[in-house]
Amino acid sequence: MKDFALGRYIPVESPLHRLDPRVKIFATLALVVCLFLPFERSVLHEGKDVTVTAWTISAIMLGIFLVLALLFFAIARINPLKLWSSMKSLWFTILILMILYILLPNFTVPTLGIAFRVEQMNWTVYWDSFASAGRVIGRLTIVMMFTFLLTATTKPLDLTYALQWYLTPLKIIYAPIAEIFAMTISIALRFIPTLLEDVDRISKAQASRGASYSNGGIRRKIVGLTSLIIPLFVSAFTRSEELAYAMICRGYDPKGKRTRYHKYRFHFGDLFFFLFASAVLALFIVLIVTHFDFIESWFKVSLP
Amino acid sequence: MPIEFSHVSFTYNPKSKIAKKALDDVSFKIEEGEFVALIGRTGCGKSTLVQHINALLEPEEGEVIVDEFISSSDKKRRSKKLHHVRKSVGVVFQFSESQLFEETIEKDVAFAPKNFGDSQEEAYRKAHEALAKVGLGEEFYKRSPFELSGGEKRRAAIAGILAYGPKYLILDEPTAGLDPSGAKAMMDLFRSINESGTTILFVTHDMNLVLGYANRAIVMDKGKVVRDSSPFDLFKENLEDFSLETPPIFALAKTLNEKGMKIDKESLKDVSLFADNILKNKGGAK
Repeated sequence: MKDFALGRYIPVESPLHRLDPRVKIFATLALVVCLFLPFERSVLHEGKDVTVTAWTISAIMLGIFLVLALLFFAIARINPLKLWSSMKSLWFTILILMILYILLPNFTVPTLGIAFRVEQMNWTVYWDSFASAGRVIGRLTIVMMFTFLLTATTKPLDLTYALQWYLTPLKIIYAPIAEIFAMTISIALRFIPTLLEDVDRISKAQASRGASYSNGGIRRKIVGLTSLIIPLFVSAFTRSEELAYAMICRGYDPKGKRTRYHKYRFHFGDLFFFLFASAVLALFIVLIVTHFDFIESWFKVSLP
Repeated sequence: MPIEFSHVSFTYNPKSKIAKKALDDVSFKIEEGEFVALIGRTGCGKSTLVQHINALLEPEEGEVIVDEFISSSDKKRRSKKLHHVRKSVGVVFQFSESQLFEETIEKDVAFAPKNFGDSQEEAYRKAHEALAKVGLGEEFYKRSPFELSGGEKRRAAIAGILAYGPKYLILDEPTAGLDPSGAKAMMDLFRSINESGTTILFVTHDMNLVLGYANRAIVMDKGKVVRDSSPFDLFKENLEDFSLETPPIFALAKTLNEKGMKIDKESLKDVSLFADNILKNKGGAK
């Protein structure tokens, strides 16, 4: 639990930390969308025009995104290796992905050549399979980097506020979703450490009574687990009841208009970052729609 | 050696910004049959120390020895069989009522004996005995622990520890939140358990309990053991530095003593004994 870095706020003073959370959410979404846009080109195959993945361009773009993500890490003054411990647990997923892409190739025409052949089974594996797997892994890694940065540089409450802001249009249909959503999320976030403390306390009390979560037969383990879960639920329900009463006593009204202690102001940096993310998104959409192959038009060579 | 701490240190969240040294070179021994009070302001490391006794926490430096069991910072010396130490040391945690989970009280109290290898009937027999000790009669056996009052829940939880008859009983603020008569009944129960041979260490903020029940008091401050003496010697000092209060009965005895009255220190354990002592001194004893 301690080593799990994903989704945790890291308090450092940096330009990225100061950025408006709404801009950060928008930028993360925009960059992730760009990351998943496919670069394609047409080739002539058996007399027909077939669209295939433009691997060189895809690889270059992934590289650019990786550099961009690392640049953001540097700006946020966070060591990208902090993500490493969370990524390590992904190796199994990566392995499965590799196998899946090799067994079930999802391209129409191979463009990268044969990797190896198993003659007896008449089975050919193309480099395209490895490229596809590599692309998915690269994309996932970079998505993780971006989302890690978002949560690491934005306080949970600011994130909630930003999400709430994006949900404001729902007010037109008189849905109080934004307020309820914000309050629910902020309470949930607030009580995660409290619940973890409860887990610690109760599991110690039960361990003293000889309960076991890891040793012994399956029956013993199940009983051990119930001895933890039931008291945990009981304490969570007791707490929520107490909290509800405390909120009522202090005059909480779900329909009331919320004000904020900390007002967000749109700074120049926010505007710049917003424009940057929008520009990247626009550029990518143009590149995709026009099938613009910059390698061919600039360097006069044709690469896969 | 029954319970021995030698140079134990422990830090929460080591090597981080929020690192907090909870125990700092703690050494002491507890002999069999003692009734020890562990006192000190909140956050001084009492609960951390308690959790070291049955190896819920392992020392960062030093060693904790309970009978044959060694919990050490040195991996080679560390004993493997946690089960033994868990069985010989019973810990009643703060707000122990939160550990109740079974459908019926008897089942919950029988949980620990069953875990430590008793048969169904044996476990229930021990559960019934323990429930009788804490004053929960037969009518409680089949009730759900969640419909009890706060005090009854506490007693059921304490029965859950007493049921497996631990050789060492560790009590972390066992009387916090109990009404005065309930607290007294509970402490009297612990005294009788102690008299039948169980070693007891209890954490408390109530100095009257220290004076009335313990035969030894260990004072902690900022993770260190700062005093280790009989309650009588301890209260002779000015204790405000450790945010402790001299019990009123002791303050009265001290003042009377200064004014020339002879006080038998054993009589301070109980108000009526103390009253007899005063009357005897005044020559008006019955």
